[in-house]
Amino acid sequence: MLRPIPPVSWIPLAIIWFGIADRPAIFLVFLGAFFPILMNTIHGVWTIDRNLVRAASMMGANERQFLWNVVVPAALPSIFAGLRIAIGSAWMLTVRAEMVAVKSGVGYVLWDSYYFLRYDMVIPAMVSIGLLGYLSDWAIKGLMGSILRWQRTTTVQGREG
Amino acid sequence: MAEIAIRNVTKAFHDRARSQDVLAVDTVNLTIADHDFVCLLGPSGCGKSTLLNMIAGFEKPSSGLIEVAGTRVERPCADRGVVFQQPTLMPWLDVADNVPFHLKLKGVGRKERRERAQSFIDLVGLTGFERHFPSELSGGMNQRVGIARALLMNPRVILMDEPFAALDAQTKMEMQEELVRIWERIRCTIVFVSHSVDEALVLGSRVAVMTRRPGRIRDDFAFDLPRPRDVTRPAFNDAKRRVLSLIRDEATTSRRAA
Repeated sequence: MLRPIPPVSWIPLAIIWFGIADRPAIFLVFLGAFFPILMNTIHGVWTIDRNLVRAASMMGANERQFLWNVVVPAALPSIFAGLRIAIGSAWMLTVRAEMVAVKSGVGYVLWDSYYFLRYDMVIPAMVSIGLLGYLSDWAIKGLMGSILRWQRTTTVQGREG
Repeated sequence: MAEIAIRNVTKAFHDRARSQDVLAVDTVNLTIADHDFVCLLGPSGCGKSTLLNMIAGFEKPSSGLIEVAGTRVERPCADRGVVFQQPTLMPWLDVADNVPFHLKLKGVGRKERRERAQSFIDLVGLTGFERHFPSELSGGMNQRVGIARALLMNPRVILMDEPFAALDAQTKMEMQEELVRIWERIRCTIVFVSHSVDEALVLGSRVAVMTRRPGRIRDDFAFDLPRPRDVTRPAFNDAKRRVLSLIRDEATTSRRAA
């Protein structure tokens, strides 16, 4: 029900509920990050190889062990895909929220310099936003690469590294 | 002593879309002795895999009883290792972690796990590949890992569901020889499902030929040709001819009945 509403359109409500501070931004980031992670995790769990389920039950896994030793590792690639989408969308929303609802941060600086027609500030602000976005994605990618080491030889993605 | 006893086992599936019952396995009786190598031979869809799944505990018989080492089979359990048609290894674990996976579930420490797995990794000829992931190994090697895993769980009873069906002819032959070598060495009981007459006769110390659905045991004979078996020997061909004629007879009768 809530998913089709773009997180950005929550900004007015977020400001009414949480005021002008960090909290509406946190709320928006949560909205933007939650659904990609949730949807990808669900997808990852549903697409687990049924034979692995059998193999685990043959080896005497109980429900809890099954969750931690089979479901979680098998769904990790999808969870990471969700995380990467989420961090992109979270960053987008952070900047957007800072423009409107927060009185600090790169987004605020960008919007503020636009108001004062300080284009010498606009460009560096944009570059900083891009750089920080790139770095956060790079960090997730690095983490993913080291945790999903086992995927490297079978996937196209592995070839770059 | 009977290692596996199958008594009057019947399995019917309920086909919900057509609201009718389909009989997959019909009153099967089979007693498998310790250190038997039994091949269940039959055409696809004859219920041989269903029978194996019931021994494994993945499925419950509609009626009848299955006992392994004197205990009734109720659910899958680590005392019956299964080797599947696909290797079904955990893709995120390397060989040295995949083989002792059930020990991890039992809470055995990593060091002890690896130690106990090592002898079986050596047995299936994968020494030196302990740190490889399944995706880095060939199909045959992955099946070896699957066999090592089943052996480590319980070296006494191994259930195999066409484990070599997806391998190329040459690898298949090597794996069959390897399996016979392992079986002779550790004297386990093996139930091996196959649709290939050659495979059943190369491997089995006993061959149970199943009929088309509903699966019954059509014939069940001991086959004690000396090993390694030469598939071109007259004695082998005689046996093959006999089995083939059995299958052909059965195919004609079922066609006439239909």
